[in-house]
Amino acid sequence: MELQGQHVIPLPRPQVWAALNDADVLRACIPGCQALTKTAEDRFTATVASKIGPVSAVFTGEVQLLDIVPGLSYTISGSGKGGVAGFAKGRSQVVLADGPEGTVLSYTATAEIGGKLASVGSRLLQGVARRTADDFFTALVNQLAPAPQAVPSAAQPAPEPGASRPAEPAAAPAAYHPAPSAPAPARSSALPWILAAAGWLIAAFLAGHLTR
Amino acid sequence: MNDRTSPALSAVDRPNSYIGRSVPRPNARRLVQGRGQYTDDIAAPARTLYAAFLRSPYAHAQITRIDVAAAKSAAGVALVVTGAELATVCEPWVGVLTHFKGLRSATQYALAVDRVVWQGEPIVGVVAESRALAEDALALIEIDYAELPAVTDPDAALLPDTPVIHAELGSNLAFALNLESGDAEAAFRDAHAVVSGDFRFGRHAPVTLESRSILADFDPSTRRLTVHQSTQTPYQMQDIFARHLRLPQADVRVVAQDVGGSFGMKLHVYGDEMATAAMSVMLGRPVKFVADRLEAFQSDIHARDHRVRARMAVAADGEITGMIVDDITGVGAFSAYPRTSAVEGNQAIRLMGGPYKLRNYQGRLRVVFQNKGLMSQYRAVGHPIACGVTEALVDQAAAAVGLDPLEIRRRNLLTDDVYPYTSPTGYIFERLSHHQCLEKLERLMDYAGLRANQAEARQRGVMRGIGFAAFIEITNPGPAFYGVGGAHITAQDGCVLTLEPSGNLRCAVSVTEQGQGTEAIMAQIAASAVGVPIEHVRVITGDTEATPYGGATWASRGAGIGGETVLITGKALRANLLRLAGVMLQAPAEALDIKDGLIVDAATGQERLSLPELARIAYYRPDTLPQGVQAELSAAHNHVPRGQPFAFTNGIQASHVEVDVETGFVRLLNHWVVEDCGRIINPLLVDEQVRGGVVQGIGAALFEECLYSEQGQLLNGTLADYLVPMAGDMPDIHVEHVSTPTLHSELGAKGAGEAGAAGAAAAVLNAINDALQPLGARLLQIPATPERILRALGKLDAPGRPTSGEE
Repeated sequence: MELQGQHVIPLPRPQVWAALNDADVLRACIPGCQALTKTAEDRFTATVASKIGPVSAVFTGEVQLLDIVPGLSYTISGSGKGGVAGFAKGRSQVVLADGPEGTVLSYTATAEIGGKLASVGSRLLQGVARRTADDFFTALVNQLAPAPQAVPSAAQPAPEPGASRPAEPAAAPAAYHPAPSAPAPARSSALPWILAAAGWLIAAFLAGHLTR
Repeated sequence: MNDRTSPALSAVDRPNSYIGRSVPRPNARRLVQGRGQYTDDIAAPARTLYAAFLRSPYAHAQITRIDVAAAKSAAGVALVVTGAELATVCEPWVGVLTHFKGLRSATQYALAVDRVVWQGEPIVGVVAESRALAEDALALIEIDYAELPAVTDPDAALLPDTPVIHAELGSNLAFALNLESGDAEAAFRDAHAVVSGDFRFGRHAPVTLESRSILADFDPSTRRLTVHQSTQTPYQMQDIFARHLRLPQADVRVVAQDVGGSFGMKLHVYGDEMATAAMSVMLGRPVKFVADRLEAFQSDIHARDHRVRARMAVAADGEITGMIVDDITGVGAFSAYPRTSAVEGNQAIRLMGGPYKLRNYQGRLRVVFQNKGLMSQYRAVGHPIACGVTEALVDQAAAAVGLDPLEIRRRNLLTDDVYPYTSPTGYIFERLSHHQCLEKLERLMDYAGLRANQAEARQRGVMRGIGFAAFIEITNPGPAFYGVGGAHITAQDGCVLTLEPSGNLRCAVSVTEQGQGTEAIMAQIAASAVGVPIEHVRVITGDTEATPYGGATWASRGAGIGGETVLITGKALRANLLRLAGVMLQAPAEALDIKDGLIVDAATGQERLSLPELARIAYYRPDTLPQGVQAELSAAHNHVPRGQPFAFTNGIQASHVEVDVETGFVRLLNHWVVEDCGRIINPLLVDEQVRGGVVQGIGAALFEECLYSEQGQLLNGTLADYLVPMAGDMPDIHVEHVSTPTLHSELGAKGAGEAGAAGAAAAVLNAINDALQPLGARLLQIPATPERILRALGKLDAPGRPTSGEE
């Protein structure tokens, strides 16, 4: 399965990059994430619980970050074992760019699922993966810039509805907030987390879509 | 012979015969009321445990670590067994038979050892107090895999850089066969026209209502194993459990009570079922396993995964002069045991062109391994492939020479004067009725009227099509089928028929019942042969301890072989009873007859003695019989066809469809079948068989296909994703018959179980192509999904995407 998407995050690029490399942020944003642990400079282990139709599964797996261009792009490669439910593998390339309304995050992802997951859930994979990705980015934005109000672009501190680009209706929920003072530890070594997140997103999507 | 009343009539033709009558099946009421005793319904013996299996999520992987410690200590768990451990109790197997020269397969273990070769292959068995607890324990098992590249595409399987699934075999080729007859090259050189196609047939799952089920009970005190199993072949399985679990055959009993559909799927050996029996032996306790629907999709045998490149040569007058066929079929990771996975391909290339006169034929078959579940015999083994290819090419040939599709068939079908006939591929046809069937079909469907309707509809932009499929069907296989290749699979059947003290008959027979009405057929034959009301016959099937050893039910053999066995046995019992009655009545046996359960005077029909009275005297008052007279109240006989390898049947089908060229959806308007299964014992049941087979063929034509990812993942293992034909989708299926009894048996019955499935898909695909023909579109792949039809019409380019300009 291949998936691609674009999200506008109303924050400056360095801040987004840092957040995507923050294990705490990622742990909070990946649905069902029970644990996310750094095992090497570019590697992480993660545990994500999910219920897939009649099958409950806890995915445990590794995420690796590749081709890191700090502040700009990387590739996340991850795989997780879900016991009797099967397995999930994913790879996602994430690219950040400056846009008029904040940081434009583009990703392309490929995911492969195996075992029961594949035989029971393949039909639903695409839809759920997209939805899970959207949920992740929504959670990410909320995590970085929690605000009760919908907010426009990063360049406009004033809260304003309609932050999402019309072309990407799913990309930017109304809760986006510019958050000029968002906490953004600039740990460039945290880049891998982004990748981990993407990998885990994929796993989570899989899990998520299977519950549909 | 025993029928002295009317020497011109055999037992089956007597006025009070049930043969040829639509007798309702005795088990229908019971099954409809939910009183069936399927394996899962059998009350579990005390201390029964339940098995579940951890299955491979990969199509191909090395197992680098298995940790079952946590599972072993989980709640309610009695046993956790890996493949290596199970192999100490259950001998592995290799699915080859010697009469398929060159057929190769690898050693297959009940549970995978070291390596998994298809997604769904069982790896670890867990036995616990309940299935739920067993499944909970499965979740605690840790397995590490090193994924290996999967071989999925049959064509790619033989390429030099493709990984070899079984290194010891050197290649992924399981079996190859080349057939040559006449001079096909010359026929093509001299042809007026050559038509060709690259045909693809979707992998098809059996989807029985009742999934595979087994309850194995090993009693350590007697060292006897009793297995209740949803199987077609209890005797074959008795032998297999005995040999592979190292038990004396006499100490294994296999019982198949009600079986909820099988279609050929329930006569193969499955690792999970063998492991269940082995784990019962290991534990000395009853162990039960019922496959769930996903397990069924992943591990039941599949069928029909073929790609066939074929050409047909035709003369200017429409004479088909030659055919060249190249069939490659992927059968999964192993050749299935014990019947192999070579049979489908073998029959497919031998049945090509089968209804027609052509003598110049070249057939090439390659059977290859792939990292998918196994393929093996399934209803109408190989027939839909041969029929689909042949009939599509015949339609193309008709178009190439400007003939009507029915007319080209009329010109090429084997004529009545050629029999006995040996086909170019070596099949022997005793007597077929192609032309009678064709003429009957033409009248039945009002062919001229349909063509007029088609022309009128086209004016309105409504695209309707008519498709034909002539077919032949292999039935009643003789001893040269499996036993000759070394399999312990018998081609004979046995029957024990007893007059009970009540005066009723007890008919124990080796053919089995899977819902098709075997019990009714056997009761009709026994009642007719002896001369009793059918209500007085009780048929017993499916218990190796209660019924004689025999081939059971497969390859459309039940009525033809099992039925003949019952007939022979019934005549013998009838002779016994008449002899006894003669003693009691002091009359020559020849002067007596049995009618409606009464001993009567043969000449006058006057009642002399009832069977209950005869039985009472024979059982309870033998002291009243003359000295030296022993009442023989049972007869036992065995029968195997010896006259011909198979009893071929024939027929022709037609389909009428309407194709929505905007959406690609096909509406089935009507379906007709005229077939010849020889003597029809029960028209109701024969028509049911034909209709059921047609529906399965329609499923293949329009809906059913196991979809795999390139990595060998089965992508549609649910009934939400794998489409089966539904009643609402089905057209009226009109069935008519021509009857050409085989002369190799007294009964004259040939098989009827696979005729519908043999030709239905071919007829539907031809009808679709007939509908599309004015638009210049042609589809050579089934199932003919809306997407494929739209692509054939040029309305889609890439999968699922409209071509530019289309919305």
